[in-house]
Amino acid sequence: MPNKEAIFNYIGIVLQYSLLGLIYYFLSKVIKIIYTDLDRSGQKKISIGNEGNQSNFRKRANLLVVDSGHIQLSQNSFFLDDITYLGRNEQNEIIIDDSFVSHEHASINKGQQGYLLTDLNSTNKTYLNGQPIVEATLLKNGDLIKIGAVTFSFKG
Amino acid sequence: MINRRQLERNLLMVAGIIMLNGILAVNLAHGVLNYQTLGAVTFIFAGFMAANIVLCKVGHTGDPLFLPLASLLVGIGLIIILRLKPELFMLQVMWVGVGLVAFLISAILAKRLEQIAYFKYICGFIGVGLLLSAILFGVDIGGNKNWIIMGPVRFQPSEFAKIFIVLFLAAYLSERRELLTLATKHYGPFVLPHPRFIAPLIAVWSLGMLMFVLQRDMGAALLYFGLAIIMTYMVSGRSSYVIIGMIAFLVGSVICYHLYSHIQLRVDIWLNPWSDPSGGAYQIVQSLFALGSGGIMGSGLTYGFPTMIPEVHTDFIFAAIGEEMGLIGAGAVILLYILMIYRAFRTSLLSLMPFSMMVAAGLAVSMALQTFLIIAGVIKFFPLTGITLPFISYGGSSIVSNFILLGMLFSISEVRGYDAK
Repeated sequence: MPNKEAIFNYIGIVLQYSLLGLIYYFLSKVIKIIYTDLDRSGQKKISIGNEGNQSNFRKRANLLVVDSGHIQLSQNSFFLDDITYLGRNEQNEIIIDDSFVSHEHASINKGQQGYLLTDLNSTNKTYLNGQPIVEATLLKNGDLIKIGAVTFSFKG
Repeated sequence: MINRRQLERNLLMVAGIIMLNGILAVNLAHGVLNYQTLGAVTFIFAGFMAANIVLCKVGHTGDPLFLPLASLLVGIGLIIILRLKPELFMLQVMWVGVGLVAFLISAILAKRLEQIAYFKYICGFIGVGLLLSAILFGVDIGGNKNWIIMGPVRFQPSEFAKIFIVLFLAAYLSERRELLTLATKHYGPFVLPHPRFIAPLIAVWSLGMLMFVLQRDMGAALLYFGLAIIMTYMVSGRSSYVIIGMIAFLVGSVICYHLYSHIQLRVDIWLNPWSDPSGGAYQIVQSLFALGSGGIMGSGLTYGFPTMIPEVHTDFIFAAIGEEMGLIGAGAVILLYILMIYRAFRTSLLSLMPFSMMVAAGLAVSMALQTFLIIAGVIKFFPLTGITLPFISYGGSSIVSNFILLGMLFSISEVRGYDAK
C-alpha cells in the first residue's frame, strides 16, 4: 500500500506543475490568435490607405456618412463638386436638418492641392478629427468631419 | 482561415484538459480518487462542447475566444472550490450547467438586441427595482445584506441588476449622445452639460450612495457609479463628466465617512490592518498572509492554508489562488480577465449600431470594474468591497448572471452586415 501512495504522490506533484504549464499553453494559444487577428486588421487598414492614394485622381472624392445621429440624411455618401455647402438651409448641397447646425455651416471646395474644408462662422463649429477648425484646412483621405451630430468620413 | 467554431473547439479541449488535470491533482493530494468529481468535470466539459455544437448548428459567428476563456476561468474556479469547500463543488457544477444554458439562450436571443432599446425604461425600472428590493428586503447572508429570499429561491439581485442597468444606460445614452456632447452651459472655467441631461447620472449616483450607506455594500456602489460615469464618458468623449463624477463621489464618500462609523471602520482597516489583526482586520490580514506565503510558485494545490480566510470561496477566492498557485497562477488568472475584457472592448469597437456598441462597452466596463475592485480589495490596494470574482467565485447568482452577460457580448460580436440595420 505505501507504494501506491508514493505513486499517487508522484503523479500528484507532476500534475501540480503540468496544471500551471497547461494554463500558460492555453494563454499562448489565445494570444497567438489575437496576434494574428491584430495583424490582419492592421494589414487591411494599410491596403485601404494605399488604394485610396492610388485612386486619388481617378475617382471623385466623396463624403461617407459614418454616424448620422438621429438625423435623416438624403444619402449615405455624397460626391463632392468644385464647391459643396453643408448646412440646414435647403440651398445647401448637403442638408443636415438639426438644430445644432447653422443655416450655412461649412463648405468644402476644391483647391489645387486637394479639397479644403472651411467653417462658415457656424455657432457650434466644424470639427475635423475631433478638433474645431479655425481656417480652411486641407482634407486627407479618411479624415473625420463632424457637424452637429453627424460625422462624415472624407474619401478622396 | 480556420472556422471560428473549430478554433473555439480546439481551445475548449485545452481548457477541458486543464480542468481535468486540476481536479485530478486535488484528488490525488487527498489520496483518494473521487469518481463523482471526475464525472462532474466531464459533464461540464461535455456541456461546453455541446454549447459549441449548438452554436455551430445555429450558424453563430461570434467571437471564438469568449467561451474558451470563460470555460478556463470556470475550470480554475471549480478546482479551487473543490479544494476549499468540497461540499459546495457539486452545487457549483450545477450552477455552471444552468449558466451554460443561460449563455446559449442569451446568445441566441440577443441577436435581436436592438429591440430591447425600445424597452429601455422598463429595463431601467427592473434594474433599479432589483437594487431597491435588495435595500428594502435584503437579508444578511455571510456578512452582506444583499440577498433576496423568495420561498426556496435565494439570489443576489445586484448581480442581475447590472445587466439591466447597462441596457438602460446604453439605450438612454446612445439616443441622446448628440445632446450630451453639444448641449453645454458655461460656468466659469467649467463647461458643463445641461442639467436636464445629466439627471440619470445624478440618479445613479444617489442610488449608489444609498446602497453605500444602507447596505454597507461599497463594491456595488462603486461598480454602478463607475459604470454610469464611464459610459457617459464613452458616449460623449468629454472628460468633464469624469471629473464632475469623481468630485461628486469623493464629496459623498467624505460625508459618509464622517457620518457613519462602519464606513470609518472599513477605511481604517484598509489604511492600517495591523492595528487589529485578529479582530476587524482578520480577513484582510489572513488574505495578505496567504498571498505572501504563496510566493512566486505557490504552495501547490491543497498544500497551503487558505481556509484560514473567512469567505475564501466567494470574495476571497483570489487569495486562495495566490497562495496555492502562486504569482504564476494568479498572474495567469489576471491575464485571462485582461484578454476577455480586451475582446469585449474589441467587440464594441467592431459593432456597427450605436446601441449595441454601448451595450458591449458597458458590459466590458462592468466586468472590468468588478474584477478590478475585488482583486484590488483582496490585495489591499483598495478598501475591501464585497463583490464576487466573475466566473471563479462560488455562487449561483454570480455564475448565471456572468454567463448571461457573456452571451450578450458573444451575440454582439457576431459579424453582421449593414443589411441588419
